[in-house]
Amino acid sequence: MILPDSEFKGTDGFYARQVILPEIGLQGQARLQQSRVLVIGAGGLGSPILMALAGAGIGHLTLVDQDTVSASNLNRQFLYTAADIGQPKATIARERLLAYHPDIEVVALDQTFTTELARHVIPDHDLVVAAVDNRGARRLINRACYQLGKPWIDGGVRGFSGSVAVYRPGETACYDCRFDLVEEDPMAAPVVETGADLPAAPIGALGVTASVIGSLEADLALCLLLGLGDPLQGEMLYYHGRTLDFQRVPIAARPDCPICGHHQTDPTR
Amino acid sequence: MNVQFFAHLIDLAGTSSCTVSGPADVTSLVQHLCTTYGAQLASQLLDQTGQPLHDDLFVLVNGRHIRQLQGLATPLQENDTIAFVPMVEAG
Repeated sequence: MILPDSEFKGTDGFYARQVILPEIGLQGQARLQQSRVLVIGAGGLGSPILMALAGAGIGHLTLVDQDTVSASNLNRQFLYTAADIGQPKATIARERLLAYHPDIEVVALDQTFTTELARHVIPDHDLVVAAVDNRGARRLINRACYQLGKPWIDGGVRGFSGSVAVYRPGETACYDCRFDLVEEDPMAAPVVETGADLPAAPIGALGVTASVIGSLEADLALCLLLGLGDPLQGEMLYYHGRTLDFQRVPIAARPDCPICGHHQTDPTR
Repeated sequence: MNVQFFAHLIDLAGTSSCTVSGPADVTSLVQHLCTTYGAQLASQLLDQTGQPLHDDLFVLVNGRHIRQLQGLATPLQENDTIAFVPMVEAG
């Protein structure tokens, strides 16, 4: 169902409370509507990210997830219900997003995010938002985004804690560089696909933490898409839910990083 | 020197920061923190063999990764800031 324009543009329409923000306005709303965002992962982080971006009116969302819904997902993956157990997450998420906002495009890819898929889909998007659960997937996304010159946003959770970061080719250190994961010959190193290096024991995860971190990722996405700048400016942000501390971590880049080194404009960013 | 903890390390240390005097390098500082804060924090600072450092941890001295400095032998000064930052990777 497509709602009439009046439902979206009127004084009491879908976007009424955000187009009155001076940072957005009708021009910013049009910019969001023209934006294309790739969200990798439709789980604990992906759920709030996708809902927030759909609600904000991102015109095109592509979501990738190879997983199916399980009972242990339901404490934090609010896109799904018990009736969805066993169903593919990407397909169900697309249905929920279109029910919430029928006037956006949502493409669901029920598949693993591989290097080949990265090269195929990333160029068609303005921004990549990661909601993955392992280091190998992050490294894959990082390399593809830096090779293709696309900014990407990362988030991670563990119990009551989480972190977010923005990686911008040409402006900030990359993921491998920032965590000093660079090997002697990183471009020749095998890249682990999504889910292949999951920890043997499950990591504790809370819905509130995933919601906070996913919402921060969505906030960063909107700031970038609206041209409001990168609030983190090359720093990582850590959140701690038991103390409600937000801590920033400035991390110097490796000037010799083979992935991002030659793109850096400022090695301290 | 100023020591900062992040994410779940805050729970295990009971604080997000502390002031330490004495350790001459990163190895000595890690040993000092394990003694001061006990086994739970030590389990997140040390690897499975009981040696520094845990795979999911990175240490910054004044914002620089110690692997870009002198690793665990990186010398420490009294006015340094040392950050113990765990990788937070679940999604």
